[in-house]
Amino acid sequence: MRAYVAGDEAAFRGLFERYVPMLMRLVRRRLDSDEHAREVVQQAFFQLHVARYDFREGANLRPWVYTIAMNLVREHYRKRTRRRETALDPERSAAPSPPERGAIEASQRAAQLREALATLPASQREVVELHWFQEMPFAEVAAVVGATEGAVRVRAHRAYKRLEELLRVELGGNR
Amino acid sequence: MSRGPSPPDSPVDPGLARFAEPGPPEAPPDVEAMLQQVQGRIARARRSPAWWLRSRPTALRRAIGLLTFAIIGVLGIVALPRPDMAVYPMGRMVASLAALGVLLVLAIHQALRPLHAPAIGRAKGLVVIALALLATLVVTSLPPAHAAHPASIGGTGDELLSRAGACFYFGLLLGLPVYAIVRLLDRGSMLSAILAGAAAGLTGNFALQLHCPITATEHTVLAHFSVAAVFVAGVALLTRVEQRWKRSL
Repeated sequence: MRAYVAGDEAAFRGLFERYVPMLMRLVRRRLDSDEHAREVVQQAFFQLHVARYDFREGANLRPWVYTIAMNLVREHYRKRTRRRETALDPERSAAPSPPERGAIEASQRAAQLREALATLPASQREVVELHWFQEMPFAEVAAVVGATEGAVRVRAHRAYKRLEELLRVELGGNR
Repeated sequence: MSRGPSPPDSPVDPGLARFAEPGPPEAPPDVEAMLQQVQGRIARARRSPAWWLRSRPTALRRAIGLLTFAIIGVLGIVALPRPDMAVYPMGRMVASLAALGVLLVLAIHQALRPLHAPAIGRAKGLVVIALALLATLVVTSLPPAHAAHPASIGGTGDELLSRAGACFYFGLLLGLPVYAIVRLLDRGSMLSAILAGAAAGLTGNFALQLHCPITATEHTVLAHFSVAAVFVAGVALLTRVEQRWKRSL
């Protein structure tokens, strides 16, 4: 990032290639189409470029980039009037070819999890997505969502508890 | 509350973790195509006259916004001072200017937030805008400060509309530079636009407080407060219309 801020354009490509897959995974979970996810990720990097002189040397870039992306996701929902995440994209929920039982079951569990996540308040859902799926420590999650670490831990605790309740049938059958 | 080191992040329950096992592989994003689109967007944005301003560090953007307001404030004091300043209660003048000034700084600060900070919650933004309007209403609806100067008497009755009109346009004119500069510096969101409108309304009232000698409450409410109200309502309406037009494209 330091090289990029200093004017090294090739450094932008390096950042792009490193962070795009991570951001796409994050944003795809929140939006209802791959096309919207691509738009948001591209806009996030555009805004990263606009805001590059705000980056302080030595700071951690990951929460920076994730915060920009999360702000855009929230704005996306605000503009389109709040709606819950829809069911899986039919193309993504289709069984792989050739169909394998394990992959189908994994896909079904993922669909159940997605539906359960959609019932959580936005503030809890964001924390789960960053802590669990992006494997970010609570301190970084707090920086991204703009809350204290304590508040983030409380949200995570409540969210995981709620997810366990919602998915209890599946969990109970496999303990 | 304990101030010791944070406990390690709790791992996700293994039973719950099974639900996050990867499903069918998703198509990887076409990174090269996405990069080219972003680079194209940057190249187009660079042609915009606001590009240089918007890409400055946030501290500098805020300083430019506040400097614009400061220039207008100085103009008000030096070039267009109210003729009754010598008899105007100084405590009230300072308190009024302080209230307007503090909220203006807050509005500019929020309108020009850095992109890497979590977005200001809608409620918080609306609170700042509401406070800006409330402070302006309070300052303008107080009882007349004095009746000791000939220039301060009048602006009521038959003169109400004509004198109010003059002040209203004066306030709008002096608020417009702040609105324009903040919008050029703003990196773009609906709330930032309305916050810029609030800052412009506060600037207009700040200038009027330093310039207009008429102390009659009906004049100050009609002519001065309306500047803030029109800026905020006007920008909110324009922003809504713009959003609907964009959605219809």
